[in-house]
Parts: sequence; C-alpha cells; structure tokens
Amino acid sequence: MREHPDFAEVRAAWLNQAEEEIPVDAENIYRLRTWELFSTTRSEVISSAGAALFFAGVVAWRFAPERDRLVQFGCAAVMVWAAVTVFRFRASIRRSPDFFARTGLDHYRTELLRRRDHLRSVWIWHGPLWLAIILSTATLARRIVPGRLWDALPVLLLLAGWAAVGVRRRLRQAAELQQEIDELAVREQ
Amino acid sequence: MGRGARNELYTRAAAEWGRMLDRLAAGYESDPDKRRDLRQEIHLQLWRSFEAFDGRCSLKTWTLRVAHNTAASYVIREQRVNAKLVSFEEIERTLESVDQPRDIDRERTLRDVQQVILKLKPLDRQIIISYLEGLDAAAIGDITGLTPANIGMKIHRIKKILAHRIRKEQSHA
Repeated sequence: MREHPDFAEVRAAWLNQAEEEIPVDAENIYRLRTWELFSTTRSEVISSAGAALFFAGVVAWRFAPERDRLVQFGCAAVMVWAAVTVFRFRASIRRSPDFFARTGLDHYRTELLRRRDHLRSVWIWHGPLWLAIILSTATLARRIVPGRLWDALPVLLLLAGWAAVGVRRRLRQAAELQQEIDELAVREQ
Repeated sequence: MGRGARNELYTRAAAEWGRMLDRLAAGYESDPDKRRDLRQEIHLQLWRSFEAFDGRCSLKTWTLRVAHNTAASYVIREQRVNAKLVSFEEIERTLESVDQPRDIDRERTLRDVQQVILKLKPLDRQIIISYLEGLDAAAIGDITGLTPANIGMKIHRIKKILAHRIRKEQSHA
C-alpha cells in the first residue's frame, strides 16, 4: 500500500511522541489488584445496597420496639435482598486471566452485553431500596398518630421519583447499547 | 503457568513493546494523570493474563490484544461520564474540502491525530492505533478479529479523515 506523504508525517508524529516521564512500577502493578474493587459499577451497586440497608436500619430502629411484624419481616427481606444482590454481583465480576486476551471484536461485544445486562437488571440492584420505601410507607400509613404519613410523604415521593428516573435512564442506556451490539453484528458480516 | 514464567513473559513484553503500550494509552486517555492510571492497569492486566498464555497467538499479538481490550473496557466505563463516541463513518460524513497546507507542524499533527482518535469507538481506535504503529492488515485482523477486507476499508477511511483534519487545522494556522 503506497503511503500518502501527509500520512507519513502523521505516523512519524505518532511514533515520536514524548516518552512518559514516570516509568511503570512493576511492584505497584501487583498492589494495583486491590484497586480493581473500586470500579464505578461496583461502587454503584454497593451504594445502592448501602442506601437500602441504611433505610431499613433507620426504619427498624424507629419502629422495631413496637414489634410490628411488617417492620420486622420487611427489614429482614430488605437485608436479605441486599446481601443476595451483592453476592450475585461479586460472582458476576470474576474474570479469568485471559479475559482481555480475546480479539477486540469479541471483547467489545462481551463488554457491551455485560453492561447492557447490568442496566437491564436494574430492578435487582434497586430492589432493596424500592422495598424499603414501600415498607416505610406501609408502616407509616398504619400508624395511628395523625399527620405522620403526611410529614414523611415528600421524602418518600422524592426517593420514589429518583428511583424511577434512574430506572428510565438506565433502560434508555441499555437500548443504546443494544443498538451498538446490533451494529457490531453487521460489521462482522 | 508458574509465577516465574509469568514474570518472565511480562518482563519481555514490557521491554519490547513498552513504548508502544505508552502510545496506545495516549490514544485512549488524554488526561496525563488518568493516562498513567490506565497505563498501570494495562500492565497489571498484561501481567495477570500471562498466567493463561498458551501460544494460541504470538506474544506481540497477545500483548496488544490485552492492552487494547483493557483500554476498551476503560473507555466503556468512562463513556458514561464523557461525550458520545463516533465511528469513522460518522466523522467521514462531516468532512468538507480544504486546501493543502505548505508545511506540517509535527506537534500540532500529533495533537490533531489524538483528538480524532479520542472521539472514536474502541474498535475503530484499535485499527487506527495499530495502523499508526505500522502493523499490516493481517496483524490488525489478529488483534481485532475483523476481516482484512473490513480493515482495508477502514484504513482507507482513516487516511482520508486524518489527512483532511490535518489540512483543515493547518490551513487555519
């Protein structure tokens, strides 16, 4: 393939980039494995589960002394759901050593599918939070003290709205990813 | 594979293609601090991957696959907070005609090239970076999994886009 003079210059500019000043620290690379635990997706799930647990904890703390079955079983359900979510997520992120050694096309498609499935299963990750909101609403609604539900309603509505917007945004992102996955299939032909 | 053999493979790959990996990281991240982190992550995944190295492809192809794929995963993660990425075809549609400049400033050229690369989707980046590194269509096919015909077509587009972009920027200079 004959090279256009402009492109020879482009390649020369690319190959003659300034060297990185800081060399790669091999020892640091081994320590870096710990950082793998802090990807955005993981922190997303952890914060979602954490928020639900906090919510359930507050509800349990405020209402448990009254030995209300709805509160006790509801809080237990939230905690179990959150724990199962984290466990399930941990299992799904284990990667084999040759995970990155596939062809670019395979890898990219796998990553897009993984991200799409994660976004589509948003109800699993946000489930504990939804359950906690429903639980606290139901608990407050059953109280005899007048005005208690009304006092808490704005917060509950805000939380429910935030969760609904989040679900919608993620489903839209999942649809965009699906479109890109379909384009990859065309590219392979 | 034992830890000793893995370390040996990693050391060899880092020594032979370390500079290429640095340039590759520059094609995926423009911020110097983040680029250093990405570079470390590439080396980490490379070291880890050699546990499973079985000679199914050459050491160079393996190294570049791991590096590109690690960077692609990074781009997918970062894409959630960054602008939308585009394909060669989308850029090509926006090209206008410009005159040839008299001379070419290499530093500016590099900046222009990086700007184009950083907008591309990961697979297109793999092709352009590999091509800039001097790899032929067959070698790029081993890394990306795309057919040589597909790669040939992409390379043609890359040249057109880059030449146009550089002419445009430098005719404005």
